Amino acid sequence: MSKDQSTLDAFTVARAQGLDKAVERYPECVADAARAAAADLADMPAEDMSTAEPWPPMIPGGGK
Amino acid sequence: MAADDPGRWQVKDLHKDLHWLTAAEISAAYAARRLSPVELVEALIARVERRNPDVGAYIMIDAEGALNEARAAETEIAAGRIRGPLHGVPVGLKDNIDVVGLATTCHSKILLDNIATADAQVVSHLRGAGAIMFGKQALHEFAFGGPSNELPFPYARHPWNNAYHPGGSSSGSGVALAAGLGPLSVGTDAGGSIRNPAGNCGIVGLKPTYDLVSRRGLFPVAFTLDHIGPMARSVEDVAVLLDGMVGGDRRPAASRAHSYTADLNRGVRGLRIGFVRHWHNEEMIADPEVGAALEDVAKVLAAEGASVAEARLPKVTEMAAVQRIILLAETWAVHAKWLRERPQDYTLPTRRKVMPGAFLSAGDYVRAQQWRNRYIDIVDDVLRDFDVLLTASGMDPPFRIDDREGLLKTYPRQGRSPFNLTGHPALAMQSGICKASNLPMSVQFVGRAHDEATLLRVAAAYERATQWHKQRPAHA
Repeated sequence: MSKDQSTLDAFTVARAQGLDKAVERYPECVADAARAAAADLADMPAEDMSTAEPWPPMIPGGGK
Repeated sequence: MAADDPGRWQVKDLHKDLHWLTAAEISAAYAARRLSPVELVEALIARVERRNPDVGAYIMIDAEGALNEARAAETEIAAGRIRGPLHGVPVGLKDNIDVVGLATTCHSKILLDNIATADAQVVSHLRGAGAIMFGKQALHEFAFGGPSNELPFPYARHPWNNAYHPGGSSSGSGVALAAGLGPLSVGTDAGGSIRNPAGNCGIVGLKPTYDLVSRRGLFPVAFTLDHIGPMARSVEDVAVLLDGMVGGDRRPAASRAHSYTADLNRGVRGLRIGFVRHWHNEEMIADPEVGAALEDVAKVLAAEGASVAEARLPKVTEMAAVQRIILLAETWAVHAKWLRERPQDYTLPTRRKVMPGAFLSAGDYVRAQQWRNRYIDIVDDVLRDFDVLLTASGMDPPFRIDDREGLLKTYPRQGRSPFNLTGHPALAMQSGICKASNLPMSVQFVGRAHDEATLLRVAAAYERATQWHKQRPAHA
């Protein structure tokens, strides 16, 4: 496969995540995965909610 | 037992179509001594042996275990000790749910030797209700992948036409019901995996409120999105199965003494139905037949006495994207070790779907959870104006199983995953027959958190009015 910069960047991230074997054996799959993650992030709403409380709420005493 | 003993089993008249009996009919037949659990289980084993090679619904059936449980149920029922409507009724389980002594393979090479050392909590509840654990059903690999010839067992195929995809990931669970290979199935749903095969196969599937059914003993897809839920050929059976799946401590206090079947016959007069048209008319344009069928659903409910009005939710594309970020991040946490060490042991569809999680940051995950909180509030608010929402489930009718482009569209083009995100209960059932493929199309109903009773009430009214659930595969 041709390796453009975004693909090379994807391989760098994948290796940093320990996916060396996957990069070696399934490079197209790794590149597809990086594109899929970017597409999903792009579809997220744009509004900044950086100080909003996330789900799930912390429940003290809820551990086992 | 003497021949004239009133407790004697007098099996008759039911032989021809034992495999199409609903759980409610089975229970009534047991009570009337017209059918015995052993006879039913033997008939189902024989039918699975005959039909399963064509449709791939089951990975394995536990014939010996099921017959032992059937004999025990038969003895108890004959002695008048009937535990309830699930006593002696066989249940199939998606093979990501633990049953002690059986392998939980998740339909993956990676877990072929993963023998469960304890029952999942939901299995314990079902055994307590007297249900028989019949077998483990096919799924997409790890409830995530898709049809692939690399899988260790055959993938499930549509029982109405096995050239078509039955939906997933609880594919075998839906197929088993639609093919007459068992009356009840337990499926799981992190992004629509109960509702997609329910709709495609023309049966009924319910994703209950998040955490209503215990997830203990379920191999996770994504911890905060996973739901275990009932699947059956009728709304009544879904309610009966849900009764058996839910532990008493998980129900809201007000409903602990009530069965989920209690409101099924109340009809919809006076209920307010919110029709979420903009999802399939403006944002993800649905197949024309699917859209027309949804309009018909609204007309049927209005004719039955409900008030149907337009409801608006956030954009389906944005809700779905937020759900996917959470799904991918949590799934990556589950699979990272194996993906690093043995990526070759996953099938291509699973590798492709799981790996995007490696490219998300902690900040992405938290941002998605922030949006989730807001969406939960918004859906709660909308459900103050309506009792139940009517939405598209899938935007397309079932695709051919060899249509790779079609299958890739199945998961992005749907309205199911937003309610994994918000945790509201959601049910999918048949809305008609697609003229092009002669296969079922589907509708989704969504209820308030912990108000499964009203959701099932609406579904039951729609089922009574349309009778779509009586459709069967041509070669049944």
